[in-house]
Formats: sequence, structure tokens, C-alpha cells
Amino acid sequence: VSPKPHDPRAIALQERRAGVVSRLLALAVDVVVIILLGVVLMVVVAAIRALFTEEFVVEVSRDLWSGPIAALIAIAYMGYGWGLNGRTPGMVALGLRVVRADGRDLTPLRALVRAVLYVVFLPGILWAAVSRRNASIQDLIVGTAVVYDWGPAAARVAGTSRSEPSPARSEPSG
Amino acid sequence: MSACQDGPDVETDKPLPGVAADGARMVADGLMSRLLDLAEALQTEPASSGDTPQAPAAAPAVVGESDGGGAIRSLVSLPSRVAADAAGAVAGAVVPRVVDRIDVNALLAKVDVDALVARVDVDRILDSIDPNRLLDRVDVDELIGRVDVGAVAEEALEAVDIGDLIQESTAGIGTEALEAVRLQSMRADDFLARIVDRVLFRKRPRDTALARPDATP
Repeated sequence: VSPKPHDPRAIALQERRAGVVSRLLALAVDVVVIILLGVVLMVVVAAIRALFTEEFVVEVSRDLWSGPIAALIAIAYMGYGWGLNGRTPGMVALGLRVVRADGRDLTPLRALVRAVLYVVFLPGILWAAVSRRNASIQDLIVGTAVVYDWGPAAARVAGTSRSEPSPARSEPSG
Repeated sequence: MSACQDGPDVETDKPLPGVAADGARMVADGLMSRLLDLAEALQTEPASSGDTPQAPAAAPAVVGESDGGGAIRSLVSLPSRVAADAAGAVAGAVVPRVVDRIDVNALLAKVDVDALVARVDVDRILDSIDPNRLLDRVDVDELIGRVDVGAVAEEALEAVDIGDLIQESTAGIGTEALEAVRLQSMRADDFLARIVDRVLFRKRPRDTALARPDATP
């Protein structure tokens, strides 16, 4: 779901570094989705437990390992989205994309490190409000940037199509 | 159009007089057999001695007696039966020959089909047709089974930029709402950045362009 931008301002901002408000909104969507994923996981766990105890109880576990599991879910969620095409579902909704500082796609490893850094220190995203380049602390560490990217249709309208490989991107052949 | 256009309107190998002779002969045969039947009947019935077939006027006088029976009655109805037989025989002999001689194409050429069609009220005919009954007769499943749906779909997909189409059709109103949200957040980004930059006494606007190595050769 990526609408073609009709607003000239939106067209002009494609492939430009996004500000902190858009990024926080995308993060809010992602947090909601992650919580829903956690609820689904709890229901699954309760169902499995019901096989043995014969009572279906969904409960928020206070065990020691529930925190790390939640962190793992968040890391997997963000790392998967960024490693796959640079977007979590929240960023798809807001029309954002994570790229490397020079515009190239993220490698899966870089995406994973970025996800870990976000889970470890989420407030680092607020630095994007102050940074001259709209970079969060994680962006500065990993060498990434979040840009407005409404999808291929928008890129075509804006003339910033990524489909043609740039010289920096192409693999050295031979 | 075709090569063989022999003969004008009428074929001339079988002249009509011949037909008439045939018809007459068949009438005579019929008449004779009737008369022979009658003579046989009269030999067994001594009531009347009329040997001429044309005696209907005399017949009613004799019919008064009950013993006249079937022979008399058949005698009375003889002329009409003979006439009917003769007519049937003539028709049977003549009609096929006449039909043979008619050049149907020449006949049709004289008919103004357009004028004929113009006289037909197609709307009325269509009104009288029940489309549901018509459709009941059609086996749609079999019809679809004949169509190579895969090939048709493939062809259609080739003709249509499916990505664009899906993007524009599936989203609909949701797309507009989404675009509005994105635009609003873009404006908010810019607004907040200006405020922060003003607080920090920055003069230059933010650098939001990516540092593409290929951007400045």
C-alpha cells in the first residue's frame, strides 16, 4: 500500500532523510504490533500449557526470562523488516525506509545490529530531533539513515527510482 | 460467384405437356379401377342396372329400398371420390416437377431482403424471449471448461501494468487517508526541526540529502 504522492512537497521529499515525528509515529505503530505479537505468543503458550494442565489461562508471565523473550521478539521483528526491504510495518504505513548513509540497501547483519541497538537504547531515536542530518544515535553508530520512501510508484514520480543500479552499487565483475 | 450458372429461370428438358399426359393417365387409371370395383359390387346386388358412372340423379329414386345397401351408397359418392383421387394424382405428379423447375436462387434474388427485415419488429421478438430460459439451456461450466483461462489471464496480465492497477484499486479511500497521514507527519517533521534549529541558533537548514557517492561525480 504505497500511494502515489500528489503533493509536490511529498514528491520533493522522496529519498530525503525523515524527521523525528514520522519516525516516532512509525515506532508507535510497531510497538502496537509487537505487543499484539506478544499477546498471540501468550495465547499459544497458554494453549500448549492447557494440553497438560487442562485449564486455559492466558497470563503475563513475571518469570525472569519473559523480559529477554520480549526483547528477542522486538529484535526479530525489526531486524527482519529492515533486513528484508528496509521497512518495518510501521515504516510501511508512514512511508519510511532504512538505508545506508550513502543510499544503499542494508545488509541483514547491519539490520540486526541496528535492531539490537534500538532495543538496548530506544531513546537514542530522539537524537534525530537535534541532529543536523536527522540521524538517531543508532544511525550514527551503524551508518544508516531513515528516508521518506513511498514506494516504487512514488520514486517514479519523483525521479529517484532505485531500480537502475548505480556504479557504487554494482558488484565488481571479473 | 460460382462457376456453374447454367440455364436461366426454367429448365427445358421436360416439357409440361408430358406432365399433363402423365396426370391424365393416372386419373384414367383411378377411374377405371373405381368402375371395376363398382361393377363387381353390382353383380352381387340385382337391385339396380345403372352401368354408367354418372347416375347420381337416378340414384335417390332407388335408394328408398333398404336392400340397396353399400353398392348404391358407393355409387352415389363415386363422382366426388373420383374427383378427389384425380386431384390428388395430378397434384402428386405436377408439384414435384414444378418445384424442380423453380430456380430458388433466381426467386430469392427478386426478394428485397432488406425491406423484409425492415418490416420485422425485432424489439417485439426480443420482448417475447425469456432470457432466463435461454440461459438455463447454456451449460456455463462446460463453456468455461472450453476456455483456456490460464492463457487468457496471462495475456491480460501482460497487457496491464498489474502493479499500478493493484496499487490504485485496492487502496481506494484508505490510500488517501494514508497519504494525508504521511503528509501531516512530513509537515510535523519540518515544523519540529525548524523549532529545534531556531532554539539552537542554527542558520543553515538541515542537510536531508543522502550522501550518495554517485550523486556528485
